[in-house]
Amino acid sequence: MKKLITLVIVLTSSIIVEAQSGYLGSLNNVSISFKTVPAIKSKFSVNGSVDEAKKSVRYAYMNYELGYSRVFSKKIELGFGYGFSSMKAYTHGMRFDVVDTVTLTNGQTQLIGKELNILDDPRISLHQFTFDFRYFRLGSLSPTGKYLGFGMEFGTAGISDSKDILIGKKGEPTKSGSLSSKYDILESEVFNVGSNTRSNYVQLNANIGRNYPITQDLILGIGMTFPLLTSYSTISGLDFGFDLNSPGTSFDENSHLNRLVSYTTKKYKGISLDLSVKYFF
Amino acid sequence: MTIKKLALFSTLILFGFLSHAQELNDFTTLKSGGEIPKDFTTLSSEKVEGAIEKNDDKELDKEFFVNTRYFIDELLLSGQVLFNEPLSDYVQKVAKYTLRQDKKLFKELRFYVLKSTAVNAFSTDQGIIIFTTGLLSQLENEAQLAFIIAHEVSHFTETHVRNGYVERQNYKKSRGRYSRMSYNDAVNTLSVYDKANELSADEKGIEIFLKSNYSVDEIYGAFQVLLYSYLPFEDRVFDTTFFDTEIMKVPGVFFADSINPITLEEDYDDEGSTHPNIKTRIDKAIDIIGDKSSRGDLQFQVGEEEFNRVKNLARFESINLNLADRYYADALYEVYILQNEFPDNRFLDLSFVKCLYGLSKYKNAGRYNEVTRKLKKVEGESYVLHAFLKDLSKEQLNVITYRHLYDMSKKYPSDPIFQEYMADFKKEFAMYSKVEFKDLKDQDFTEYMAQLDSNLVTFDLEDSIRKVDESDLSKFQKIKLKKKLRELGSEERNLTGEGDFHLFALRDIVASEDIVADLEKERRQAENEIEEKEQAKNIADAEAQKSGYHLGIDKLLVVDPIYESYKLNADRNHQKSEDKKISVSSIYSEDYKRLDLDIEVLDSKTLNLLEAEKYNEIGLINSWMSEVIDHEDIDMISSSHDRIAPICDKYATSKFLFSGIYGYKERSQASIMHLYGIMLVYTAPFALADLLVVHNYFELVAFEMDGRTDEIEFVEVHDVNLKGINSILRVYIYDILYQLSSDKKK
Repeated sequence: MKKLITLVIVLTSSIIVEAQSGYLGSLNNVSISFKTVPAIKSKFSVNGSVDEAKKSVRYAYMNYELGYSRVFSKKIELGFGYGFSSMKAYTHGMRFDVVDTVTLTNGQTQLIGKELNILDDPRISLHQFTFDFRYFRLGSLSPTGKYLGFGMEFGTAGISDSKDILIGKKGEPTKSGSLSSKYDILESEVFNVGSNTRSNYVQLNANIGRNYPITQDLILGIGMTFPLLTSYSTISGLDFGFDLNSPGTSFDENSHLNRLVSYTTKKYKGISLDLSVKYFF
Repeated sequence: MTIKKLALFSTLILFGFLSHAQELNDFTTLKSGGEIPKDFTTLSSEKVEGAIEKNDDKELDKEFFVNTRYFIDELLLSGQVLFNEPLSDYVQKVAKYTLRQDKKLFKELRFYVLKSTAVNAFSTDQGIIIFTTGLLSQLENEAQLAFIIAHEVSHFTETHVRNGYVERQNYKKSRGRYSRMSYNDAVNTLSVYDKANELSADEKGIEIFLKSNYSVDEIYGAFQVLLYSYLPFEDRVFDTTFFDTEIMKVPGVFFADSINPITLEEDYDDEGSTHPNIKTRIDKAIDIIGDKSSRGDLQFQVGEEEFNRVKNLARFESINLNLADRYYADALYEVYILQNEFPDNRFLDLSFVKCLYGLSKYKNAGRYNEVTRKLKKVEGESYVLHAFLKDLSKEQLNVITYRHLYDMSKKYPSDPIFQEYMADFKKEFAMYSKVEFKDLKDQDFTEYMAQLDSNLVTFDLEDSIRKVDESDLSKFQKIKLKKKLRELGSEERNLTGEGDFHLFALRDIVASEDIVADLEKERRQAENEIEEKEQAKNIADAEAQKSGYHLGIDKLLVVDPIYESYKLNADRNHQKSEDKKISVSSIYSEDYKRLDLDIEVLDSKTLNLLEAEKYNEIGLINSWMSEVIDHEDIDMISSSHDRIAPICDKYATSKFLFSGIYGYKERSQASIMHLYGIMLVYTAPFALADLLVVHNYFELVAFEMDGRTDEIEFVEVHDVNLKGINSILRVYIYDILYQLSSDKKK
C-alpha cells in the first residue's frame, strides 16, 4: 500500500512537472475500442427449434473496451480501461460421455455409455481491466502517430449458472458446404451447468499502433495487440497456457467446463486488431 | 532672364543635391514600395498552368515551366528584390529609353533589382530582367547600364533560356549532336553553346544599343566594369590616417608599403565557363560595330544626377550586404571610399562602428578568419586595409574600436543605437580585449615617444652592464644589478616600440574618467552576468530537455514558414511545396483557444498587392536571422539590429518564429533485421512490408529569436516517420506554440 501511494505521488508530480501540450492542448481522453481477434474456427449452433444443428465458420471474436488515457510526456501516454466481450465457447470435437439406462425387452435395465456432442456452443462472458503504457516512437508526439506499448490485462470469463448446454447427437449432414453444414438432430438433452463456471487470467501484452487525428477533439487509433504471457487460473491451479490445450475429447463433470472457458479464453486472447475512437478533453 | 533661369537651375541642382545627401544621411536600407507587381503575387502553380496552356512549342515540356517559374519565384519572394523604388524605377526609365523604338517589347518586360553584392544581371523567358545592386554600384554611367539592359533583353528576344533548356535536355539524354560524344566533348560543346548565346546576346544588344544616342565607347566601358567587378566599387589608395583621431594616431609602420597587383587580364581562361572572356567579347563587339556609329555620344540620357543617386544608394546598400555577410573588412573599405564623398554621414558612421565592432568581436573569439579574405587573394588598394586589420593584435584592434565607438557615442549622444554598441563593446573590452587596463596611459603618444627617445640616448644597456662588470662590486651584487638593468632595458624597449600606440589611444578618457576602475568594475559585472546567464541557460536547457520550453511569450510573429516536399527520387516537388507552404501558414494562423498567444504570420506566398511593407519586412527579418545564426556562439549585436527594432515596435513583439518542414520519402534499406524478420515467418509480413512500402518522413526545424537581444531562445527539431498531412503538422506546430507561450510561473 505504501508503495502504491508513493507511486501515485510520483506519477501525480510527474503530471505537474512534465506539463505537455498533449493533443492540441488536451491531455485526457476517453475512448471506445473495438478489438477483433481473427480466429477461423468452427462453431456449433442450433437453428430455431432443436431439430437442426448448424456448424459454421467463425472468423473473429470481438471485444469492446471503454478507456481513459492521459498524456504524461511528449513520448508517453498511460491509460486504463474496462473491456467486455460475449463469445461462444470453442467446443469443436468435444463430446460428453453419458451413461444411459436402457430397459431391455426382458425388463432388465442396462447401463449404456454413449457419446453426445455439444450442439450449441455455450456463451461465455468476459470482463477485463487493462492498464496500458504507450511510448510514441519514430518522432511521433504523444498521443498522435506511431507507438509501441505494453499492457497488463486482468480478466475473468465464465458461463453463467443460468445457462443450459444443449448436447445431443447429430445425424448425417443434410447440407454440406465449405462454410456451413447442417445436420438433423437425432437426440438431444440439456446439460445444466449447475454453478458458475469461471476462469480468471492475467496477461502481459505488447501493442503497436498508430493514432490519426480526425478533428480537433477526435483521434482514430489503429493498432495490434500481441499477448506475451498469460497466466490462467484453472482447476488445476495456475497455467501459463503453454500446455493449456483442448479440454479433452470427453468429460462428464461440470468442473471440466472450467477448462473449456480457459481454453476458449486462450483462443480469444490471440493477436488482436484494434480500432478505437478517442475523444480529447 | 537668362540669369534668373540660371539661378533657378542652380537652386534646383543644389536642392536636389541636398535632398539626396539627406536621403543618404537617413539611409537604413533599400525598400520596395507601392503596389506589389503581379510577378510576386501570382502563385507559381498558376504561372505554370498558364504557361503550359499557352505553349505550342513541342520541345518544351512541363519540367521547363515548372523549374523556371518556381526558381524565379523563390528569388522574387525572398524579400530581397526591389520594385517601385529609385533603383528599379531608374533601370525602368533607362530601359524605356533604350527600347523606345520597340514599345511592344518594352511592355512585355519587367525590370527589378536584387539586393546582392554579386555583379550580375539576368533575364528569364517570362520577360523578367533582374539587375543586382552590385552591378549598379560598379557602373560608371548610364550608357553602360543601357548596354547591359540591351544585352539582357536580347537573351529574352532570342529565347536563350528556352534554347539553353532544350540543349541541356539533349546533353542530359545524349540526343542529337551529343549522342556519340564522350563526356568531356559533351561538356565542352555545351560550354561553347553557352558562350555562343552570350556572344549572340552581345551582338543583338549592340544592335539595340546603336539605335540610341549613347556613346558606343561605353560598350567597351561596360566590359571593363565586368572584368574588374571582383574588386570593390572603387580602387582608391588607402589613406593611412583613416583610423586617426585627434587623440589616437596609428603609426604609419602598421600599413603595408606595397599591394597585391590586380592580375586579371581581358584574355583570361574561360574554359568551362558559360561566358566568353572579356577579350573575346570586346573583339566580337569591335567586329560587329565596325565602322558603324551610334547616333550620339551621350553617357547620360535619363540623367546623370539620377544615375549618381542610384549608384550611391546601391553602394550604401552594398555596405549593409557585406555587414550581413560578415565581410567586415570589405564593408570598412567601402565606408572609407564613401566617407570621402559623404563625410559626417550618419549611416556611414554607424556602418564604421559596426565594422570595427564585428572585427573585434571575431578577433576576440578567435574566429577572425571567418570574416576576412585570404590576404593573397586581395588585390588592389584595399589590400593595405586588409593587411593592417589582419596584423593588428587583439589589444590594438580592441583599443581602436573602443576609441571610435566612444567618439561616435559622443558624436551621436541621443542616438540609441550608437549608445547600445558602446555599452556592449565596453563589456567586450573589459572581458576579452586582453588589454591591461593599468597600462593605459594618460599621455600623448607623440610626446611620450619623443621623451623616451631623449631618455634612450642617456641609457645604454650594454654600456651600463659592461661598467657593472668592470666595477669592484661583489659577484652577488653584480648579478643583482645586471638583472635589474636588463629588466629596465627590456621595459624601455617595449615602451619605445610603436606597437604600443594603443596604450595611449584613450588618454583623454584615462585622464578625465576613472576608466581603469570603471573597466575593472565592468569586467566583474560582466563576469557575474555571464556566469548568471550561463547558469540560467543550463537550468533552462535541463528543464527544456525534461519538460520542454516554457518561455511565456504573449505575442509571436511567425516569419514565412517553409515547406519543402521531395519525391522518392529526391527531386523537389514544387507544386506540393507551394501548396503545403500555404497550408502551414494557415495552421499557424488558426485560433487556438487553449493557447494564451497572439500570433501574426508573415507569409510571402499570400501577400496582396498592397503589402509591400510586409514584403520588405520578410527580406529584412530573414537576412537578420541568417546573420545571427552565422555568429553562432558570439554574443553580439547584429548589423541589422537597428533595422529590426522598428519591426518589433510595429508588431508589438520582439519574438520571431522561423520554421521549416522538409517532407521526403524513402524506402528502407534491406538489413539483417529484415532477413531475421522473414525467417521468423510470423514477422515476415512486417519485414516485407517494411521493405516494399515507401515510407514518408518529415523533418521539422523551428527556432525562435528575439529581435531586441539578437538571441536564439528556442530550438526544436523533429525527425518524424509520418506523412506530413495537415492534421499531423498541426500537432507539432501546436506543441511549438505551446512551449513558446506556456509559462510555469503563471
